[in-house]
Amino acid sequence: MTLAGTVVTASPALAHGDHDARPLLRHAQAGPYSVSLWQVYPDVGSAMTPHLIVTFDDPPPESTQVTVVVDSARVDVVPSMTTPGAWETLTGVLADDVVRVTVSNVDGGWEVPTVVIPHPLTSVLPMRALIMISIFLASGVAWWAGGRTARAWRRPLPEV
Amino acid sequence: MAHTAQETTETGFIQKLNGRWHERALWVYLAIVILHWFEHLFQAAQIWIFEMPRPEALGALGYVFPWLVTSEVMHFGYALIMFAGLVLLLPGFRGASRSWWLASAIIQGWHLVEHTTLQVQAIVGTNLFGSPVPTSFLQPFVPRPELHLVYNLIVFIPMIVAMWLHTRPAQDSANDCNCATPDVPALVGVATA
Repeated sequence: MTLAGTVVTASPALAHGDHDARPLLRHAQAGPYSVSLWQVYPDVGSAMTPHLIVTFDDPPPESTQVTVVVDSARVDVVPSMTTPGAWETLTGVLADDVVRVTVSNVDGGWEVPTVVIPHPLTSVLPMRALIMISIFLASGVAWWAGGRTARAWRRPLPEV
Repeated sequence: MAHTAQETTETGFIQKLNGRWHERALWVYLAIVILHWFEHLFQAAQIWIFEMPRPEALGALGYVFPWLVTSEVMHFGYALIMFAGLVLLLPGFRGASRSWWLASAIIQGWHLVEHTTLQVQAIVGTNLFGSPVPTSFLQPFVPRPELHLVYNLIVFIPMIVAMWLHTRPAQDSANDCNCATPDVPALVGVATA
């Protein structure tokens, strides 16, 4: 399924931000605009490829346009359906891609500082293994605690 | 005088909580902690095992009541209860178990600071680092679900070690509570030839 397809069929979601995307550039000045760049995490499932999000610190006027060039090739970018005043690319960006974003309106165009996509943070932690160990640990503790709780209520409270 | 009487009552409550009520209070508290832990594990499984999009991975209760997560109320409430329990039940611990319980309380203290900051951001509507959503201090380095899963894990492990040490029969003589008292009292008698 393409990203465009999933964007159309996806249920309403929270605005993009630190919970589902990593910041690439915060509060960069582009002419009259203050802009931040984000990349959705690559391990969020098939519904979201690691695409780029351009957010404005203040909602831009409707006439504002955003252009994104990745490795010298222009990519499609559309207004975000989940994040007010934001724009999203329709294709993912990969580590080491060179991204140039231009913001324009009727008065002209301004380039955001060029960003090279860093390698993702999430690869540091072996999350599946961590989750399985945690589930095993929590289940074992729940079993132990169940027995001890039953025992605590079975016997009378100690005398003062 | 009324003030003194109130202080006496409060002191009495803490003493009871760490004496004759300690065993039952400890297991009730652990049940709450485990429920919270499973909430985080459910969310983690939604993301990394069932591969749900992160904005839709809100945990078990959050799946049914999304506002609990988006308003930050649920995890702030859990963090507050967890920290209060760790502090209130601390006096009942002795020796090595006390050190482990205290370590858990200190880590949970930082976890509570993080959740308080998140709660304030959700109420005020202004977020750290210019983020469109409430953000933890360490989120620029580690994404939120990973960060808070690790926070809970490093609070949970020393807590369980402390409880295990505290409830061993060998600890019974050091405790003021009956958490480590064996189920069946030892029989006292005189052996005859």
